[in-house]
Amino acid sequence: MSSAPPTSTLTRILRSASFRLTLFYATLFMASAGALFATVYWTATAAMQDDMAAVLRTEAFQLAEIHRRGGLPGLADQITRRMNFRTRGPIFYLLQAPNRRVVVGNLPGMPPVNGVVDFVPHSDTPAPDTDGERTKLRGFGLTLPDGAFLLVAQDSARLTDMQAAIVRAFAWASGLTLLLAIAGGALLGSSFLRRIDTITRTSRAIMEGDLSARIPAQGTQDEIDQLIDNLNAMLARIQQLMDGLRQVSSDVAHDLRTPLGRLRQQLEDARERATTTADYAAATDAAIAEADGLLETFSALLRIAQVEAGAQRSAFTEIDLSALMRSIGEAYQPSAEDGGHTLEVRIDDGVQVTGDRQLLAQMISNLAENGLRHTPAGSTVSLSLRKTAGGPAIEVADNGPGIPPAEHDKVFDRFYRLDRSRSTAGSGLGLALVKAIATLHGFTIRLEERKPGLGVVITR
Amino acid sequence: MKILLVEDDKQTAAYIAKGLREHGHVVDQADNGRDGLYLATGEKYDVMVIDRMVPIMDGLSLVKAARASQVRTPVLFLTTMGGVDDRVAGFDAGGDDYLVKPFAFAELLARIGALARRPPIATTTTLAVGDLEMDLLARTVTRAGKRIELLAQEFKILEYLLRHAGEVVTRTMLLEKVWDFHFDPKTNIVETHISRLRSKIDKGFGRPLLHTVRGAGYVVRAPD
Repeated sequence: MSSAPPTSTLTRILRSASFRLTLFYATLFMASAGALFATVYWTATAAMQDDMAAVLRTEAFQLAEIHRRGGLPGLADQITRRMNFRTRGPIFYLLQAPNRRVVVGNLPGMPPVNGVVDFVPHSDTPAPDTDGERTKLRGFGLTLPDGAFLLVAQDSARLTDMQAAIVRAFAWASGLTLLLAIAGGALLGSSFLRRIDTITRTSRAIMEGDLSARIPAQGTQDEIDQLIDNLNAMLARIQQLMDGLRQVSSDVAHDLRTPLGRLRQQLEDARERATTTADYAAATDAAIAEADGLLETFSALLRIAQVEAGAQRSAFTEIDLSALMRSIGEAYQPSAEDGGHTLEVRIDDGVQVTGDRQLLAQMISNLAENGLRHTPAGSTVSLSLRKTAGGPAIEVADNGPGIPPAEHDKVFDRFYRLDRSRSTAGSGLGLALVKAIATLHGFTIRLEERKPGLGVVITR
Repeated sequence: MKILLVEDDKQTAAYIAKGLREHGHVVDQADNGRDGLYLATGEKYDVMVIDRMVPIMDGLSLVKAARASQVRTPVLFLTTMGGVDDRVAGFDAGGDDYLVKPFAFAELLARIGALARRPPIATTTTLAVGDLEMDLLARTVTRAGKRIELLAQEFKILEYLLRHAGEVVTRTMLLEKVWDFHFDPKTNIVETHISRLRSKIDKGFGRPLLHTVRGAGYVVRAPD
């Protein structure tokens, strides 16, 4: 197992998914704010420019009207008055005679231009009063009917001031946003990392062999908590499977050695002592029987392990348990009769369960066989299925010798055999398989003492 | 019969091939899935016996590929697993039967026989061997014109035997086809049913039709 080289917390935060996400959103936000800024900037500028042009035009045409009535001298007089009594902000004027002589005004002479004009006054002319700073002016020029030229102008400072204010506001806002985004991303990233670290640490502990370790959840039921819950469930499942595997291997070690040893002994014996073909045949038959028994035990163990692993659950289908049990009853009827037993079958109609048909068939068959095998001739074995409020109730009962209550739990263990059954055939795995199948299907199984006899009851 | 055997375990393969040849079959062998597929698609076989787990290409993929190439030869899967899912997967891939290892050779022989002579999807409504007749629609059985009453499971056993008249049918085959039991019950349920069936169809009719083949199974055969 190779582990990544150690990295500083900062690097890890910068690399964390949540931080990158925050950064992405911050960038996205900045881009949209930028678009908004551009729109505001251009719209405001355009509106202000229009407004200024309108003021200048009105002023120019008003003065042109005065010129029409009072001629050049009247206009000059009016301009002088207006220059002295400004009412609407700083307005600059220029009135040039047709020969380009400046008649009146606080702007230097210039070639006549009609309409809106932006210009910077020549530096050699005295600065227009008020702020004294030379700024860009915006003017409206008008050539009067007698050839004289009139220019009305206004300082553009208002416009540039507003533009600067917009830029400033935007710069502050975006700087603050970026700062908040980075701080938030770092915070989110580090808390995210802390939780991921917990998961990493736990999984490392598990890899190192502590299968019982579980990841602590925060209890907020958010996505990470759900992930943790799932991981924990998965770990529990793995542990269960591992335990099963361990159980099987120890069972194999424990209970397969004996028959294997016996097999070896028989073969050795045949090799040393057998003299005739008949001797060899007998020894071979015995060895084959022993091997068959071993194979059977082995496949029963595997089957139990398979069932306990629960893989079959994915192949569950709706099963008519009534029909299945009836068919099993019919299957065992002749053997029961031949063995001197009475097999009673009492089945309620229409009992459905979700499950694996093969396994359920094997479960019920095993129980029926147990009943028939472990009771003396003349006994009655009953197979019944009842529909109850809590679900189906399967019962296989007999009126034989029964099992002492102290041993009721142990009979479901692998290889457990009652003392009196040791001499009869059987692997001691039948009931272990029955229990595994019942558990797989969500049933609970228990033994009940009958007087006389024994009942195996399987219910939900 | 010409049989394809795909099995990677040398001992098992030699054992099966030798046995089949002794019974007069021609056997082609492959020890991996790729060679198996090459033979399966190139030659004409009566039955293919394919191990589920062979190298290069597993048995399931082999059969899927062969079926995709329009090879309709019946397939018998050999498996060490025998779980329910396992069996279903085999049928889904296009297998026709399966046998869990280890198996008795007689079992393999009987199954190969049953596969090779698979009756066409029967539209017949009556089955007959000798003077024994079975009406599948009326669900009645007569021998020499005399009506015989059978229980449902006895009827199913006899139907299966009649459909495979002249072939050996093993105990496991009956468990699977009649009861759908894919496990080995420790009780002699097949033997007891057969004995009851025998007493109904053979007792009092002179020459028997239902025979026990020692170490293998049962066969229904018309008297010569």
